[in-house]
Parts: sequence; C-alpha cells; structure tokens
Amino acid sequence: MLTVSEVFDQFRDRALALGGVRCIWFISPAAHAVSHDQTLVLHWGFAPEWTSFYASSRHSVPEQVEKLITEGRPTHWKETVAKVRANKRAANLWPVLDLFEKLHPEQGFAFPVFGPFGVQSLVSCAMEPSIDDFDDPRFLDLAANASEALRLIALIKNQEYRDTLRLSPRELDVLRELCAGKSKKEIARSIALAPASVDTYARRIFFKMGVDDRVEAVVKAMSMGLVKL
Amino acid sequence: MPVGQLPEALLEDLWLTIAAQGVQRCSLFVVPPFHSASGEQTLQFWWGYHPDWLEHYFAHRGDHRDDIPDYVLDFGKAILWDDIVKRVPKTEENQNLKAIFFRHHKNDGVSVPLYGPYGHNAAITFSFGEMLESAEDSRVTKIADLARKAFTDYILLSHDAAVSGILLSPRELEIMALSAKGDSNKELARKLGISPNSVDTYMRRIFAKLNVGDRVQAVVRCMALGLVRL
Repeated sequence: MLTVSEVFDQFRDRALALGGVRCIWFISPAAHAVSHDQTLVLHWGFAPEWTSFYASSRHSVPEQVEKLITEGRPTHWKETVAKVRANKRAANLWPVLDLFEKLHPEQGFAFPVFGPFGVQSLVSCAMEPSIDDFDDPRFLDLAANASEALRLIALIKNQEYRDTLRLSPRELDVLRELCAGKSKKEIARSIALAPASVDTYARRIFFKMGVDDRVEAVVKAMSMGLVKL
Repeated sequence: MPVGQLPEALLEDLWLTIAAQGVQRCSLFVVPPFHSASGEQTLQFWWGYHPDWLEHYFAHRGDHRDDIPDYVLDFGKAILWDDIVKRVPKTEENQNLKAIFFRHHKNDGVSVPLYGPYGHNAAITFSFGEMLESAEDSRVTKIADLARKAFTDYILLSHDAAVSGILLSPRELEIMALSAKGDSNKELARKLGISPNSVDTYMRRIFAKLNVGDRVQAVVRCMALGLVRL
C-alpha cells in the first residue's frame, strides 16, 4: 500500500502537469471540525515566509475552511476574500489575507472533496492560466484526481487505525452492537455471550481504543469508520 | 443552491438529464452517515427497471441483504457490474437476487460511489444498455460528475430541512458537544455549574427532541446531523 505522502505526491504531479502553481489540502475525519490539531494539512508551492507564518499562528483560517467544506461546492478565492474583507467580525483575518496576496498574486479556487468513511476535505489551488469556470476540463481533471487521492488517503488512514487497534473480530462485533445503542443484556443475547463477558470485552475495547467509556468509544469508532450501523 | 424545491425533485431532474444522455436505467441508494447501505434508513430511487424485478426486490427486502451498495462505497470508485458480481460474497441470498435480476436485465451496469457533505454517501448504478470495456469509460465519468453535483445539492437541501426540524437550544447543543467528547453527567454538571439532576432533565429533553432512547444514540444522531463537530 502507498503512504499518504506518496499519494499526495502523485496528486501534486498531476496538478503540476495541469498548470498547478500551488495547492493546500485540509483533510478531517468524519464529524470532525477543521482545526489546527485534528486536520491533516498537505501543501506545496507556497512561499516559505507564508508557510512558517501559517504554522506559527493560531488565526481562524480553519473556520473559513470548514465553511467552504460544508457549503459543498467549488468557489473562487476572490469571492471568499471579498466576503471576508467585507465582514468586520473577520477583521483578524485581514492581515493574513494581506500577507497571502502579497506573496501569492495568482487567483485560485477551492473545492470540497469527500471520501469514504465520511472523510471531508478542502483543496485550495492556484493554476496558470487561471480557471474561470468549473466546467473547465482542467478543473474536472484535477477534481477527479483529488477524489481518487482522497479515496486512497481515507483507506490508508482507516487501515492504519485498524492496525494500531488490533481489535479481534469478536471485539468488533461487540463494538458494533455498542454503537447501535444496545444494552449489555441485549448484546449478550444477540451475540451469545454471558453479560459478564460483554463487560470484559467492552473494557478490553475501551483500553485498546484509549477511551474511558462507551460514548467515547462509539464516537471514535464512528468517526474513524471502524463500524457501520 | 436551488431554492424552493423539494430535494427529491433534484434527483428526478438528474434522472431526466442522464436519460437524455443515453442512460437506460439507474438506481440510487442514499445512505445516512455512519450507516450501512443495506439498512432500513437507506433511501432507494429506481428508474427504468423492469417492474417484476422491483416488485421482487421490495417484496423480499426484509429477507435479503443486498451487499452490493456497501461494496461499492467501500471500493471507492467506479466499478463494472461484471466485476462486482465476481467479488461480492457468493451467499445464497446474493445468488438468488442475481438470478432474478438477470431474468430482466443484462450484466451491463456500472456502479459509482458518491461521497457527499456531512458524511452522506450514495451508490449510483446505471447502464447504457451495452457492455462497457472499462469503468473508466469517459461516458461513465460524465454521468458520475452530473450525479455527484445533483447528489451534493440534494444533501445540502435535505440536510437543511432535517436540521431545521430539530430545535436544540444552545445549552442543549453545548451539552451534546461535551457528551460527544466523553464527559459524564457528573462532569457536565460541574462544567456547566448546574446540579446533576438538571443535567438529567436536559438529557431527557434532548432525547425526546432527537427521538432517541439513550445518550449514545443521541450523540451519534447529533454527529450525523452535523450538530456536533468533534
């Protein structure tokens, strides 16, 4: 299996071939907000000055990213930038935009990409010549490549998580029942275990997942795509 | 986003659009977040299929488990029916379904997973009435792009409708967000500066509004509706 960075490199090569100048990709697990510590950020082509500024600051770019993901469709940067500049409550972002636009004059666009296991992401790119409408074959090509890359990244992440946890098939059965909201008694009945064994299984699952209780286990299992309801 | 339309109308429009491009039949399984496509909460849309096949499929929906949509969603990209049929487990149920399907239709379909906002997914299957060489056929890609757009619009529209029907107060949302992060009722009481009894009351009111029986289901439901982000 490829690694995440190999998949991203392939995507970058394709984007370069299509005229890509730079690109940043924010990838969050299912039901997760975009944030500095939970979101995987991959990028290339940005000025080092920008990259170090971005890494060191705690500005509210993630909120904007999240908005663009939930809006569900491609947008041009200039539209988003105009909105942010018109919004006094986003004034803290204006200096961020100033620096960005000074370093990166090319006009870009952003589009959400969704993948297996509820993985959600935003790709933000600039291309030369610029993309004016989203029926442009270069955009469609880039979007198709992004979908395929995100599919692979989601599968890799899912497999990595499964490999770290090493839940047995029986433990996965119990976890699935826990996620379905069944009581200890119901679980014991549906998978033919003694209620006390269900407890033992549950404790072992919580330990492996590094959680304290059922709600946390369920939240983690669902958002990492371990089980389906 | 189109306003003032029923979400389903977007999917009907999709069918008309792709039918005009040579698609002869199409099924769309819309799967809610975190769910298996074979579950009861999956919405199914069928266009252009033989009535006898549909009658059989629905009459026996309770006794068979259709593994194909989940397979497509886990596979992650376009796949020819010819390949799916070889790969899904050869259970008796799957074999029976297959036999009945092939009485009415050829093995010329292609399935594509559609991943949408808020963890909503769909599996779309369609056929041009002829065998395709490869799932990467440019006609397939074109239909898949149209379907992805229509599905995204559909989800955004139906998501707004679903969320606006659930009126959790800011306090209730705060309680669910903390619960999702693993806080117990005791911890909730301490953090919010209220008594454990009041937390209980809040919880019961939340369960009623979400129409669920317990805390786990409440959290899952809030995550699925995008009301709680981790």
